[in-house]
Amino acid sequence: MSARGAGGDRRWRKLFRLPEGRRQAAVDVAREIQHHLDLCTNDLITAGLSPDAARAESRRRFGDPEGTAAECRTIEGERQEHVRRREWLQGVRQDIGYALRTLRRAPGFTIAAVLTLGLGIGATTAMFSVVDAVLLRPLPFPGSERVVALVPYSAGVEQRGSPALLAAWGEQSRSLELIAAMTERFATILDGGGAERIGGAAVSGRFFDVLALRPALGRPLGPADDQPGRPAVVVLSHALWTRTYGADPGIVGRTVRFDGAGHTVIGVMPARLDGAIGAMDFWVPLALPISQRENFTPYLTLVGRLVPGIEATVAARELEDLTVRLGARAAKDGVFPTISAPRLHQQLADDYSRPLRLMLTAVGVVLLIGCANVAILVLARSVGRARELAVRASLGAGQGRLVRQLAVEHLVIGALAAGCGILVAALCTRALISTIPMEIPRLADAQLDLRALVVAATLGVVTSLLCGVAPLLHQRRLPIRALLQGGTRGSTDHRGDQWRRMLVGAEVALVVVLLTGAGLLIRTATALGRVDPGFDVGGVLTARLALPQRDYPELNRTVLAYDAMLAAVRSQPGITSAALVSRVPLGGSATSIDVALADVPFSRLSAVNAALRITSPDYFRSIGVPLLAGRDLRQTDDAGAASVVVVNASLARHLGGETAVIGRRIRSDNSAFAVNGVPREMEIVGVVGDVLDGGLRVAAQPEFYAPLGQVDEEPWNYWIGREMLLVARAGGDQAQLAAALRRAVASVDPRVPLYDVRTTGERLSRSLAVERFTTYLLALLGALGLGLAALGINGVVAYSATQRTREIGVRLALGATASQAIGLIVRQGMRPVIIGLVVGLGAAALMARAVAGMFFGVSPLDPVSLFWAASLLTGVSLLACYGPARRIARVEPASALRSE
Amino acid sequence: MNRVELVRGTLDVMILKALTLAPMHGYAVTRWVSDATDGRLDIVEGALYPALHRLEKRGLVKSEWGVSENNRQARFYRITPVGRQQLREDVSAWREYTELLSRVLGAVPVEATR
Repeated sequence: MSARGAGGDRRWRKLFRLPEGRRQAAVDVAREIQHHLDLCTNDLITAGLSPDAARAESRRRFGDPEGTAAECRTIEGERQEHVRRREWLQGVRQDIGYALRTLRRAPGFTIAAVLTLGLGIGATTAMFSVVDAVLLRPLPFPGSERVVALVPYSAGVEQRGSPALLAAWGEQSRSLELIAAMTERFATILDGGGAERIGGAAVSGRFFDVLALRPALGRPLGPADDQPGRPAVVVLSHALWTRTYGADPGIVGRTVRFDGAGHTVIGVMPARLDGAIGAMDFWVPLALPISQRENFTPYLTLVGRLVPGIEATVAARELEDLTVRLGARAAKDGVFPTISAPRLHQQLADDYSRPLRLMLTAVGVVLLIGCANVAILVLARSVGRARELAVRASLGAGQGRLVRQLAVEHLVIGALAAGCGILVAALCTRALISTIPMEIPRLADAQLDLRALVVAATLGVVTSLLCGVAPLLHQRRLPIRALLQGGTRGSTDHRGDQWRRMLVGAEVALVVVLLTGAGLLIRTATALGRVDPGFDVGGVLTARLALPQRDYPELNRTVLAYDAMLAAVRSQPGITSAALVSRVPLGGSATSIDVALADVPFSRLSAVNAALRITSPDYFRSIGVPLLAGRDLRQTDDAGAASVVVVNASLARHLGGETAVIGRRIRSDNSAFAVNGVPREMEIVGVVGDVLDGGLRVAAQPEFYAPLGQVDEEPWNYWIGREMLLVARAGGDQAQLAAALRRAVASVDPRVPLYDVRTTGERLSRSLAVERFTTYLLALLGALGLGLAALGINGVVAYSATQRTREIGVRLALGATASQAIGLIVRQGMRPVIIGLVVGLGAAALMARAVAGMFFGVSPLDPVSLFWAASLLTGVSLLACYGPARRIARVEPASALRSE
Repeated sequence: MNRVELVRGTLDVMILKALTLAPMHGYAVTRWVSDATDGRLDIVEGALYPALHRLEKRGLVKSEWGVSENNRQARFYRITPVGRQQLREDVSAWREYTELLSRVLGAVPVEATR
């Protein structure tokens, strides 16, 4: 009968811990119940029933044998599932134990693999947490994905928004729920013990609704606050509230003095908003007068909240249409602006997006190079382990089981590497935050949070499997018999050799890309260093200052005070010249207006859009801008005198030539440059050199300089925020100079603080800080990648040279010279390097074109960068090949021949 | 001879008890219970086998195929150490329960104590 056979089979399967099948379970249950029925029938027959009656009675007593069998089968199935899972877990536990023992026996390999992967994972995770905090994570307020910046672009250059656009868009847009404006404001406070200058924003009525900001204390600013003539109110940031006001819970309703003027505190924002939308410490109402609705001067930052379900691009097109309908005044140089509506957090981090992404990619590339190195180690080790695997296979371990064991072994490495990586990331994240130039918004939020940990763990799994199991795939069919018989070195490792060469080629290609990128950035830095910013970047000291509006309500009083301060500064010993200016060079985008020669009809064709700088006399000499023609502004160019301006070379060229424009008059259609509605005519008295403003990469724009005494209230109050920069040139010590400036200002008004004191050179460095950091980091990563690749090449060449010891021995014995032998091995080692180099140069060219915007003064296909990357790599690779080659060539032929 | 209906939850504990005496197949368990109660308690076979399989799933008993008294392949159940522990706990719980139950059922009406 088959029952015994089945039982025997079961016993065998038990021995090998293999799960019984479901079909077997069904058979067993049926037999068990049948057995019960048979015994019962027998008993009944013994008790005197006829066989038929006994059978019927036993079935009757049992009830429903089929139903019972079905129930038992289900339970049995569940039990088997349980057993299988437990056995699988036990197997994995065994594999882990086995893996740990194996790895402990190979500490060199284990440490090298864990450290290589761990450092790579750590660096990548740290960089990810920075990118995540700055670029990816939404802003910390509800529905922030619908909050967009509304940025007009004129001829590809980013502009600000105007009060007229705010009014028109706010009333007519259907795709934006709400629109609001903000503009930077600064204020001096004395509450923190000593004068402190703090930055904040003046915002229009719907600003807090657009961002869905809710204060932690009190109420937000609303449309009712945003009217001229309303009592002055202010919302404080959490940081300012704790820093200066001792986190006073009763602050709401109290009056604080900003620039000497009392403001009632109506709210305090929550801590999570600190730094999220730039370093802002207070918000006050913008309170634009109704007349500003017709003002097209761009000096506001506009933000909007999209209607749910509306794409940002759709909203942008709608705003463009609305702008065209406003007529010619909304155009600049006769062209209407295009509107872009990026997510607010993307707009805030826009300048850093490309460098940060580039850095993350570069770190990831180094991790990949590390993976290739570990894969090379795994391959070298796998040859030694092939026999062990073969033994296990011949003892009955299936292919699947062996693959699982290898996978577990490398997952253990991956887990160790991820653990190591998390430690590295914790250190690196802090280091990055303190090293990266600090202006990046939300950078300080970067931390090793759950998202970063998930990234680290995923990288651990992926990289370990990538470099652990993938190279072994060619061993799908283990040549068991051949391996057991031994003496098969070399012949079975042919596929392994191919893999090794491919890995070397791949890492070389990646290194070439890294080195080319670093080279292009270094060349960019050199090119930027050659750019003439148009002013003296040496010993010119600049400092910001503002006169409190309460004490200096009118412009003429302000001008008098400034004159007195300048006189005091100039009288300080060591000061050779000093001046005031509304905006420092490299100060970023400025308010610009359309101007045209007064003797031609004002039209879109004759007008030039020019930025405005308000200055005192002697500014050009102080900052080191050359006077090309005409004269400087004078003390006598005051409110009572004829209107004069100085133009820069760009504007002069637009208006007719650098010398030809002297003595001609210009006018603007902007109401701030009109008297009783009639445009004021301003005589051009001088032409000065161009000064760069939007960074060293952006060409100078047309610009004109107006004397402080001749500007209107509007530009003073709104465009430049009532703030000036003191510019002083001296021969002496910078620290003493700063003190001298402070003394001089205090001698006129002790309540006016001087802050943001820096030399022009420092300002230039700051504007390049992110750029420099990216360059250094990429150069560092390039060097790291090159070092890793050298290690990889060295390992591969050393391995294959050892494999060829006997052959080299034969050649040497037959009269080959050592240098011939070295040449042989180096040639073999360099072949994949050359292939990788060619592939890498192609990839580098593609990469460089993709991120061409990061480079300056250098073509993405810059032959110098490509040449240096290629030569550096070739040189290092040759060295990496030469070492092991020389070692083999030195071997005594006799001992080489004896080696197996 | 009165037949007693099996109280819910008692089947498992009876099976475990039976298996402490010797490994048994299912039919032997029903026979043992019947003998031990002078034929007054019958286990319904339709409930016995699912109960045995469930006990095996919980690891309280273990089954293996062996040769029965009539020289045929039969599935024998053996109690495991975990099963013995479970039985000890069940037995003391049942003891306590039946004692409390009989105390409640044997209570004298309140008036009678006055």
